[in-house]
Formats: sequence, C-alpha cells, structure tokens
Amino acid sequence: MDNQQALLERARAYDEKAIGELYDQYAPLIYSYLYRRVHDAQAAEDLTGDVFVRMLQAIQSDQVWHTSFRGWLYRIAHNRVIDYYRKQPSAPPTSIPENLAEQLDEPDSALIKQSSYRRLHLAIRRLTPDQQQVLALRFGEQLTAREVAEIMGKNVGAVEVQQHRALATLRRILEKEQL
Amino acid sequence: MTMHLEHLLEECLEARSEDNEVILRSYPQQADQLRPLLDTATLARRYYGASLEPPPSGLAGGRARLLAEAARYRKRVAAVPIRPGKARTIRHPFLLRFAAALLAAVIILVSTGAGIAWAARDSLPGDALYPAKLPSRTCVFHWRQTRRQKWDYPCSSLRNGRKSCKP
Repeated sequence: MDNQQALLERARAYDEKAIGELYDQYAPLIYSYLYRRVHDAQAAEDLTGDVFVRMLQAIQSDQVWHTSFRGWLYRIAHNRVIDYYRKQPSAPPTSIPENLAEQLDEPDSALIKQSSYRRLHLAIRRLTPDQQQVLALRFGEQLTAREVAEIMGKNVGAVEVQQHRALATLRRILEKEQL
Repeated sequence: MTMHLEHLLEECLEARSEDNEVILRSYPQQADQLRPLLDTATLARRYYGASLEPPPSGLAGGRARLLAEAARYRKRVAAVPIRPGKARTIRHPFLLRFAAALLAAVIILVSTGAGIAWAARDSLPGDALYPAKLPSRTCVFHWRQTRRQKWDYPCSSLRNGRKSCKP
C-alpha cells in the first residue's frame, strides 16, 4: 500500500518510470472494462490510452482521486465511454475475441450449457448503457455496490435497482430467444 | 416490496457462494423470485469474469503515447521558472482584498438603506422611522422626470390617507 502511494506521488511529479508502472498495472484492467463496454477492440485500445492521458491532465489540474485510485480510473473510463457513445450512437461491431468465447464454453450449469457466448454477448448489448455499466463493474471488475455507486455518481440504492433490472431484463431476453 | 427484493438480491450476490441453492436457503420466502436472478448473475459472472487479454501491440501504443504526454508536461513544468514560495500566489493580494472589502461595504450600505426606506414608507410624523422617510421621498420626487409625474407622486403616496389629491 505504501509502495502504491509512493508510486502515485512520483506519478504526480511526472516521473516517467512511475507513470509507466501505473500504466502496466492498470491498463489491462481498464482495457478489459472498456472492451466489455464498447465491444470493439480497436476502440477499447484507443480509449485506454485516452483514460491514462486524461489521468495526467487531471493530475496537472489537481483534480485527483479522493478515496481509491483504481475507482478514480474507472470513473474516468466511465466518462470516456459516455463520450464515445455520444459521438457515435450507432451500434458498434460485435466482434468476439477467440480466447474469450472458448473460456465461456465450459459448461457450468444447465443454463450455461444452453447459452452460447454469442447469445449472451448479444443479449447484454441489448441492455441499457447504465445496466451494462453496472454488470461490467459488479461482475467484471468485482467491485462492490458502494464502489460502483461512487464511480457512477449514484447512491447505493440506485445501483441495486439498476442491477436488479439488468439481471431481470437479461433473463427475459435469454428466455425469449430460447423459445 | 420491490425495493426489498433488490436489496435481498444484493445480499445474495455479496454472499459469493458457489451454490445458489445454499444462498437461497436463507431466503425461503423469496427463493422463487431470487433463483432466476441469481442464475442469470452466475451467467453474467462467467461472461464478465472470463479473462480478456488485450493485444500487446495495442497497449504498447497507449503506453508510448502516455509517456510522450508525460514528457511534454515535464518540459512545460520545467520551462516555467518557479521561485520557492512564489508559485501559485496572486500578484496583488492587497488590492484584491481591498476591492472585496469595498464591494462588501457597498452591498451592506445599499441593502440597509433600502431596507430602512422600505420600512419607513408608511410612517407618520412623530414615528421613529419618519426622519428616514423624508430623504427617500425627496430622492424619489427628484427622480420623477416630467412635471406630471412630479405632481402625481405626492398623490400616490397619500392614497391611503386621502381620497382625492388636489393642489
């Protein structure tokens, strides 16, 4: 924890090595989160770079994190996703990385056996951006409802509502497609 | 009731047990409602939990861009000579404070005067506020631009006491 704090302090002084280390540590997390949100590998790569450049700009103007650096990065990423969809509201391509589809093919329950990755991928894309956001942060990034609420600028109750709606809607979509 | 279910769902998800049926034993009354949601959550966990390795080239590009940006910031910071203790200070703090104090004093004076004038508008000779009424009436009288307006002003101010106003 102290190492992490020291790393962040050095990054504030634009220490190249510290910034590089932070990038290596957090870029894969941010990339996978962004990929799950925009469903486009190229866009996710570009946005990952943007998030870290924004991080530098924010450090420059003293708009830094108050509680968790990781949560703060996710918040920047969340805002970048909003900007991304504002600029191009049309549906992005639905490419699915090979390794991801293979991992999900392992059967775990009756429901998983029946559901292919593609069906799930398309069903999740039919949820609202906020619902996708909650699921990505809760199940992808393993954050608590409180952390998700901080990142999204909502209260915990609102996140619980979104989570419930997201899962109920996803369930309905999957059941409907199965019929 | 719905809100209750949403909170129970959150409790179930926080339990983080491998077996949903084990979790549902603690919620026998809501089990039927929670079961499909928890099954879907399991599915979502599998979907989002699958590790997603980014292409190394993509992240290397982002890293290079970030470091270039950091170097630019470093240069910018180095280019500005900063004397110890002088960074981020306002050039004329005394003038700024004086202007702020002056502005505050003007606001207080104007609002106090307006308040007294408003309170004194119906006062009569002998009342405590009557001396404050005279200058304000004189001011208003002088603001009236035409003779007609000047003539009408005392009339309108006396309307409460007299039915007509003839010279």
